[in-house]
Amino acid sequence: MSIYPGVVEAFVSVDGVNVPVYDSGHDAQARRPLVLVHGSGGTAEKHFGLLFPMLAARRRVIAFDYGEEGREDPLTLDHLVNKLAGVTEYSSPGGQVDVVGYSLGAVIATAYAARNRDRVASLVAIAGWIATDPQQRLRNELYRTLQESGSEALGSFQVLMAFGTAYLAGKPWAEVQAMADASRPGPDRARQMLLNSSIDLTGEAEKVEAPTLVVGCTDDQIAPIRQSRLLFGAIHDARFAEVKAGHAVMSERPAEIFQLIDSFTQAPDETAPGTRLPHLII
Amino acid sequence: MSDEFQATDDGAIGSTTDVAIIIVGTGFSGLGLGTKLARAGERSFLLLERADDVGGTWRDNDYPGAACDVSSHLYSLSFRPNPDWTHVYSPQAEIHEYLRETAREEGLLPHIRFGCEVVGAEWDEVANLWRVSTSRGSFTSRVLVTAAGHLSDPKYPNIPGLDSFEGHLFHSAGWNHDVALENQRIGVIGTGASSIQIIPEVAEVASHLTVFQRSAPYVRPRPNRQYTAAEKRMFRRVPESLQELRAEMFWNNEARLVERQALPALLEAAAAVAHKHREAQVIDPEIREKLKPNFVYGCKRGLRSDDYYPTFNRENVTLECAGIDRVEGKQVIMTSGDVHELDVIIASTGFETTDLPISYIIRGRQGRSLADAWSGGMQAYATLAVSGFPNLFIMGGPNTGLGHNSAIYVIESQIDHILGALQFMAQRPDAVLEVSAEAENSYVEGVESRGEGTVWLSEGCQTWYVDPRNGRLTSLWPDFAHSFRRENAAFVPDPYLAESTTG
Ligand SMILES: Cc1cc2nc3c(=O)[nH]c(=O)nc-3n(C[C@H](O)[C@H](O)[C@H](O)COP(=O)(O)OP(=O)(O)OC[C@H]3O[C@@H](n4cnc5c(N)ncnc54)[C@H](O)[C@@H]3O)c2cc1C
Repeated sequence: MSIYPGVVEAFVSVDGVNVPVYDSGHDAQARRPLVLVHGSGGTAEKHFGLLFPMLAARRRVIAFDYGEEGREDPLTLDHLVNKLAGVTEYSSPGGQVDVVGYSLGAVIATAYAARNRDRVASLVAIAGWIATDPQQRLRNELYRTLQESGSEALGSFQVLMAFGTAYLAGKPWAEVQAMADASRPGPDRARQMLLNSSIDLTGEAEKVEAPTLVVGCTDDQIAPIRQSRLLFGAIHDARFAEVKAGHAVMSERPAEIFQLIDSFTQAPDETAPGTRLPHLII
Repeated sequence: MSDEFQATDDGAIGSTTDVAIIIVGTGFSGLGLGTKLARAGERSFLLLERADDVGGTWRDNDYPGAACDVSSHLYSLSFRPNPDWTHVYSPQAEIHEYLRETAREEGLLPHIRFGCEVVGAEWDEVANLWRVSTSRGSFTSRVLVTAAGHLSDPKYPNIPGLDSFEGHLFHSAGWNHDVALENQRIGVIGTGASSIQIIPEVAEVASHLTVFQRSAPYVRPRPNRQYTAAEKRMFRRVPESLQELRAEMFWNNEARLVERQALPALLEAAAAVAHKHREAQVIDPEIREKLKPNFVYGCKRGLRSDDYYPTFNRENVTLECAGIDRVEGKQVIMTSGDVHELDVIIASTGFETTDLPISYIIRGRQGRSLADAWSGGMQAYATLAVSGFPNLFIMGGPNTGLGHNSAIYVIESQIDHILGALQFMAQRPDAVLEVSAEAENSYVEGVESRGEGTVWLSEGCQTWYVDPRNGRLTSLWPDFAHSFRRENAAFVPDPYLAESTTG
């Protein structure tokens, strides 16, 4: 993966699976490493192709792929959390990391932070959710129906769900069509969708102790913003930021996400628990 | 021009006018700061302007086709949103009018001295104030702010004989509107940001246009269009819709910065857009090849145009890529020996950027000039304060250039810093703010280290962002715009008070 010049590629073995890891390497100031956890339907490169280099210009960043292709057994949250544990140990043996998760990655990161309070210095949960709700299940079911029937509508449906209305409205039609055509199910999509339909962190999220930034997206139709607000409610030391984007915030607003992560991780305690971060004045 | 923009005199020439704050220049920077001062109830300030109108860049660059290349809703003051921008990229006259209206509506006209060129500014170490001499008398002030622009002094190319060209010669930033271009043989020197706006317009009227190109730019599509009446009224009635659009434009531009961090894949993708644009728009394969850039993408300011490339499909346009050897009479003689006979030459060759003219007329402690302090390349703490120059704030100086986002965002960040300093000084009437050399140097090191690994300092990148005298990245801010504000907007007294310079 050419996500960043000089990136080191390694494998970490977790529960018998080789997890591909992308490590930007050395940090001159020897700060804590930052670990990125991608979401369903993605890969490190697909979800963090822009965010990774932005962060890596500042500090050491490590991303990984789930690396689950070809497996048939049900995918579990525990298994994915174990992978994050393995990558944390690789990144900072016995030490702490900052964890940033997006979408299902935010769910994984939140669960990990709840279960490994001594390893997480700070947590950023972007477009995540606390417990799958009927709106999300409905979308997942519809997705499955379209996929199983081989429907051509799948691409359009994905784009319609993933992107914010303002973002789509500002695009030339040909580009939107191209996005729909290019929208193919990512690796291991079906197993991830099943897992997505059964998430419940209701009790666990409250156990997170790390300073946390929850980022919700105003136009999100995949993990609606009320889900992020619930995470904000559940996690004691959390602050909340809103981004004007759909679920595909990593392509719609990568620089704003970078700005939020960069300023939060520089001084996680700068804002008090419960703070709603104002939008920057532009 | 209306009467209200007329020059006023402060009593008899020869007397000295004293105010709290003097601002040099009435472009976006000077007017922006002036607006904030006026709104805060400050009365003791003057804006000194050498021209007879406000607007700076947007007054001077009134060449055909002039327009902003950052979207208008972003390229405007946050505290003066304008629902009525006619285009995504509005024309010069409209931006100029926006600034004139700002001066009028914010009550700045009584504070402006037009036709007032600052020719000297000296720090008086005894009285702790600035002595400012101008073409219209003398002034003193506790605080001096230069808002004299970094693209305000036209630079001509160094071509033997150009001065004695026997046709008409002028610079893009000093357009001679008395010269009729219809059916003339015209040469445009340069293919930068201004040129690509000028060339399509001039080609329409010239009998023949010769474009002298030294280095072909990357030109990407410019999705310009008019705003509809519905949109304009929506922006007025639903102000947050304008604000959301502005934020979207800002963050889109921010995302483009990564392309410049020498990430081969992203650079290639961005360059590919420009290559595709050129291939789609230029018919003749030979010309297409000549228009192909040969420097790394992102090294220079990104350019946008939809009518630049098609201009080279015209019968009456020649693209000349050999070097100019000399000018004789009405002839431009190339190093190849070819000769172009011309009636008009338009020098569209940019501005003095690494060596700011204003630095030669400012003298700080011990009479040392700012130019002298900057002989190794310009530098400042927080981009605006220099050790040895007390109570001086420089807007648009070192490390304030952005290749990827709106200059206004940088300007407003500097305004915030200056207002913070002024508030601090208001509470301590004897305080003299002078940044320590240590604070300045460690700040500058922090900025310069970020330039490493970027396209600007990569091999083969010749850009005005880099000082040719020492290879330092002195003009550009080599980071995000939002980082500029985070790092520079807040005024913190400590770095200014380290050397017990308080009176
Ligand atoms: C053609 C052109 C297009 C541009 N387009 C964009 C764009 O789309 N987006 C963008 O972000 N940036 C753009 N820029 C950059 C632009 O310069 C800045 O955005 C901005 O206008 C700078 O404002 P300023 O007030 O700092 O300086 P200026 O506008 O240059 O104003 C400086 C003022 O100071 C006065 N002055 C100078 N010296 C003296 C003196 N000794 N005594 C008295 N008065 C003096 C000048 O007469 C002038 O009025 C463009 C620049 C040019 C040249």
